[in-house]
Amino acid sequence: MNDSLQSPEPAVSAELPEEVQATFDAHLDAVDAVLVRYGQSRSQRSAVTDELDGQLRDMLAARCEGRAPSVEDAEAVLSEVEPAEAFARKSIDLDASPSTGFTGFAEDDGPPPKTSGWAIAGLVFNALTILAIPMPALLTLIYVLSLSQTDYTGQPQARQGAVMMIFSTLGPILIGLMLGALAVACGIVAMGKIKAAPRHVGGWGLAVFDVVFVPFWVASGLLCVLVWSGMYLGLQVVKLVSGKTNVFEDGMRPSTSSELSLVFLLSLPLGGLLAAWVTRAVVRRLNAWRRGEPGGRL
Amino acid sequence: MVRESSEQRPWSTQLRKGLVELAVLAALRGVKEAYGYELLQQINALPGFDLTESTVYPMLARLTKDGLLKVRVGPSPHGPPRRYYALTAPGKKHLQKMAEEWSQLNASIQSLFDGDAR
Repeated sequence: MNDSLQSPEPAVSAELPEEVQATFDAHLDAVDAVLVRYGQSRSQRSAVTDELDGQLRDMLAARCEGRAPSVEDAEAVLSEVEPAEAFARKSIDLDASPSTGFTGFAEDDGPPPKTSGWAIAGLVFNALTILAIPMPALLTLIYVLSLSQTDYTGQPQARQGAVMMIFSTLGPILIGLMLGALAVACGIVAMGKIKAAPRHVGGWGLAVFDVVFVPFWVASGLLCVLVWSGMYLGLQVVKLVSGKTNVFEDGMRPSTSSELSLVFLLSLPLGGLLAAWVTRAVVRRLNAWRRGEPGGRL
Repeated sequence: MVRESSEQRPWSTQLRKGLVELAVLAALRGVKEAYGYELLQQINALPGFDLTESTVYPMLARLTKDGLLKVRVGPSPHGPPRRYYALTAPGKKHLQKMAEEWSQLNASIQSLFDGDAR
């Protein structure tokens, strides 16, 4: 190496014995885990552990001076370096200090990160959404379900009442959806700010909650409707194929209202489970994005 | 070697921490390139410094991310390839600015010792 800092080093085999390599790998994995815990990106973690790996090998080569290294040698080398936990706070301090000039004297333990104001605003919008959306929607649903098929199709008064009920609740639902969209927007801004300055801005969990809460409920509702429609259609097909007017045997009233109620109750957990599964995948991707891992995007 | 009292230790620790970036960049100024452990050893060979890997390696990663250092991956006689660091043009400019500020600060402190400021 031209113009390098050091003289040539003692040669040693590049391939370490398996147990020696495993001893070093355990330490490097522990350092990587600490860096993951403190939100360091994959590239930064890799840069740090690669350097540390090189250092361990250099120290081992200097210690063994040409002979085959043993696990005892590896452990002796590891006893001379810092424990993995030493990488915790320091890496965050260094990561957060901007390279814009003399950075001054860093504090050992700075104040804890302040919860993002955007994340808190998102929480408020979510709370307002809770008030705006479900109540009118529930009322509409109860009203529509309470109508028998005969009432709904045969009596104009009842149909008109249902239509009016739907329109009167549409406003609050739309307002609720807009509030939900604001909550999502606040959550997205909060996540960006937290990722940019993890030492100063906190509240990642709250920000993720802001982003997924309303979409979860909307997705849940849509999936419930889809499952509900599918099940009800299936029921009608069964009736047509079997030639029965009522597929339910004893113990169930032979009315469309009962059938609707049953498939609705069945669709709730199914739709909820599907939405929860999608939400879980989204949260995992968001967390991966925070850590800078591949696939960490939507 | 002069042993520090417990009162002095936190101050000197903070002082060194504030100078890590300057020391790392300055260590790279006179050489074409160097790898992490090499830099660590060079800085620690100087009196007054006792840097550790958990300080220097994340610092190197951050300076690279900020575009002040560039990395070349080259072979190592002891195993996996090494990362050789060198100053970039913005890194040299940044070092120059830091050095000026440090000189100014050093001169100011010295003037206080000399009594010039009174």
